[in-house]
Amino acid sequence: MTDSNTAPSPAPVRKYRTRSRLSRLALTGKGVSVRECLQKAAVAVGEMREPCLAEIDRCLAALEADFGARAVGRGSRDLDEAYRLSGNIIDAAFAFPAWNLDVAGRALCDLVDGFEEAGATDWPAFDVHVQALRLLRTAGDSLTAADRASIIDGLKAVGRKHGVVDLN
Amino acid sequence: MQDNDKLDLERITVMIVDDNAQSVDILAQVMTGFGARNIIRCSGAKEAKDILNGRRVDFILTDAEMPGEDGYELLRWLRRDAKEPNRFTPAILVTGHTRISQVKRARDCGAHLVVSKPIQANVLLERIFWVARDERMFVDCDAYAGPDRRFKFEGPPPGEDGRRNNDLPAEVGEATDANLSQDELDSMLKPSKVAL
Repeated sequence: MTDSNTAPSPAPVRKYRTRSRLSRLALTGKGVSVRECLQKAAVAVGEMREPCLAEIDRCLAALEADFGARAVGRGSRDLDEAYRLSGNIIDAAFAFPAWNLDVAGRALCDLVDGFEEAGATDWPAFDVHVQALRLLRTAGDSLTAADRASIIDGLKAVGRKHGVVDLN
Repeated sequence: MQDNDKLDLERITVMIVDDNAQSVDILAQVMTGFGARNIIRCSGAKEAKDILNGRRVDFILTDAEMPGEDGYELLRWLRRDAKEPNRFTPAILVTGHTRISQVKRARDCGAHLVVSKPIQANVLLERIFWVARDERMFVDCDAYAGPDRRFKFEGPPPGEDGRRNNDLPAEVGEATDANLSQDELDSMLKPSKVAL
């Protein structure tokens, strides 16, 4: 008969000191300088602007068509798809860092995640986020930084009502 | 990271895992700009695992949220079940948004770092330098396998005894030696000539 009060002892913690090939080969003092890396990356970002813009437009159109204020039967659709579309907008926003599309996209993800946790959807709050994304995209560079910040502040205020904690 | 610091990724095999083809393109473009020549692109965790089972990879960038098996699961598998040396390969988890339900998985999956999307080249480069210089131990136990999650040691939390072998209690105990005399204290503080 075994003693039911005796819990099996956990396996011991093992620790290894390892040195990766990345450590050994990447930091030898040769290669590309930080300045050059960033210059080349900036060129790469420039080349991605058009495809990223097309992806943002595609996702935004899908959000409006399937989950927008005028979408028929949006309540029966899987909100995970809206989360995924918003995530794709965050990805593609890398080519337009000043537009704040990533911040608005993250706010929408926070909101949808909260809806799924709570099991209830506040559509007006959702619509405000989609409209903000549309405004940020359509206005593009023509909005001032203050205008964009004020749009984001509005989204944060809506998010706070739904228990979204702003960690930024 | 200084402007003149150099990074040599020419002989490094980089794996990028993301179900979104455009995200893979973005990361590949940026890594190519950083000098990487050998880039393996994977559209999902299963494809990545098949490759990791057959060849050595030196650095992994994986998206967190993917349909089916996600990036957390991929890294968890890597740290526990992959063959060496891939088991210890530096890995950065890239995430656009972390769901509340996934925060613990992100902490426990065994990533070296988590980087938020959208990718900013300077941030990614800084993190690559950081990971390459990282000297944390690899921890392997029932609950976790991966680089030590404790980045720095600032003593146990207030009011707790701590769990490390070298944790000391916050309370100061009784002195074990005789107090220093005033002369001894003065001699420690006074400047004095020394022969060099």
